[in-house]
Amino acid sequence: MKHSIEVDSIILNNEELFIENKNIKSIEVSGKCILNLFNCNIIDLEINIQDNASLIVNYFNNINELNSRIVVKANNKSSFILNHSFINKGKYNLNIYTDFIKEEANIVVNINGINNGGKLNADVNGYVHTDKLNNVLDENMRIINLNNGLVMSNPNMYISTSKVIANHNTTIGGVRLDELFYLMSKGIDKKEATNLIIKGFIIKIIDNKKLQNKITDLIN
Amino acid sequence: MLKIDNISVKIDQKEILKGFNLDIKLNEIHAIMGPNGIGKSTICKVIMGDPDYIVSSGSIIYDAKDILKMDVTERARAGIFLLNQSPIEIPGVTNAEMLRLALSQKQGALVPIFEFNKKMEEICKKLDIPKSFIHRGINEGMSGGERKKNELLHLWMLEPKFIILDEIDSGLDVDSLKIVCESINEYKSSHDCSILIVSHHPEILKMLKCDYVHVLSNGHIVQTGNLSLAEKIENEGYKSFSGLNKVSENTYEA
Repeated sequence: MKHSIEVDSIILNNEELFIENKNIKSIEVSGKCILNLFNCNIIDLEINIQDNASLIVNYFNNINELNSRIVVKANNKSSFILNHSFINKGKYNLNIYTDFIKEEANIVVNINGINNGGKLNADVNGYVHTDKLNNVLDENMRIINLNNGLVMSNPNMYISTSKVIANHNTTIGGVRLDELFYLMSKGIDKKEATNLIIKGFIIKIIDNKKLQNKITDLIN
Repeated sequence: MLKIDNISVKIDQKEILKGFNLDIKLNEIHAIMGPNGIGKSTICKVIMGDPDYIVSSGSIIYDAKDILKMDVTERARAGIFLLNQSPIEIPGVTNAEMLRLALSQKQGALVPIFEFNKKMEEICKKLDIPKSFIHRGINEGMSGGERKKNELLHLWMLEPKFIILDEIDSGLDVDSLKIVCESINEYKSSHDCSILIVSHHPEILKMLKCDYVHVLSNGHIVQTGNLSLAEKIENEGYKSFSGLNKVSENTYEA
């Protein structure tokens, strides 16, 4: 098993890593890998997933101002899952580009974000070219927009083959009223019930206990 | 304990309850029966304070307090508990953190974690549910029966005085229903409380030893009786129970 963490690039091979407060510029993936990122201000990141490799990225960020670009290249029979949650209080420009280099790969992008009075511009762009067959692309974005924040969301898919499965969905709204009623009906006041719901929303897509705990501590 | 006096209730401009009355004393168990869509669950939600339901007239007095002036949280802290027909799930929020926060807010001080965890484990054992439920997301990934038992975990921890059971039998197999009813009976025998049950099935009313059965029709109660009334409904249906005249308080006859 070989890996190295340089100032701004990572080579992963059959391992799981936890990284916080670092900016990463490139990730090269072979084997089955998991990467957990806490408060890493990703500015310009390229991820290359080799043939038959898989990468799950659990990524949380607490944002005041960030322009972020993430490019994912999926090779033959590879798999990539991004679980990205964030709290934005300022200005967050997020651009994700997913590109199927070869065939039979899966890419899933899950984003759960709180936009707390800030300005959020989130573009997720998926590319599937004519000669790249039997790929699966799934983009899911859920934003809770609070305090009159501004959200511009573009789930884009550029598909030029019929041998593909591609889905996207975006939901933007406030805190769910049924969840609020439920927690208040247990005797929790509205403010704390809202905080609990927000916390749950942020951590529920993060599949790493340590990262969940760090997020909970930060929110509390 | 709870007196509903002549309330009318609307949702989305549609009137569901009209001139509805109900009087439940301490330690009594009342059931409301009626056809689907008649407004039985509306009663449950109105008592709990669901803001979607507008009470346009009448009053609801609970423990000498006008609860129409209280929000959902205040009603819960006053001892009202609603066990929904289909409890929702909230992934990412555990039973433990929700209950500890609710108890801490009610008591005005942080509940000590050791005693809290110990009590949770004891109740899990009593309800025959895994201890893993304690730190699991609320109702997350649970079957219908597991959700009902999970809600009973909440009931035992929060110790309410007025319990509303909205079609608690839905989604439960025979064995799960027995465990749920035994737990409620045990709670009732060890706590001064009243229960309001909404159900279609006399069997559960028998298991919970219901004192009064009311039939709801045209937005209000049209007949009141005991368990034999529930059996009559099971045998004959609801056809004979619409538009009856009020004879005396809580009693309607043809």
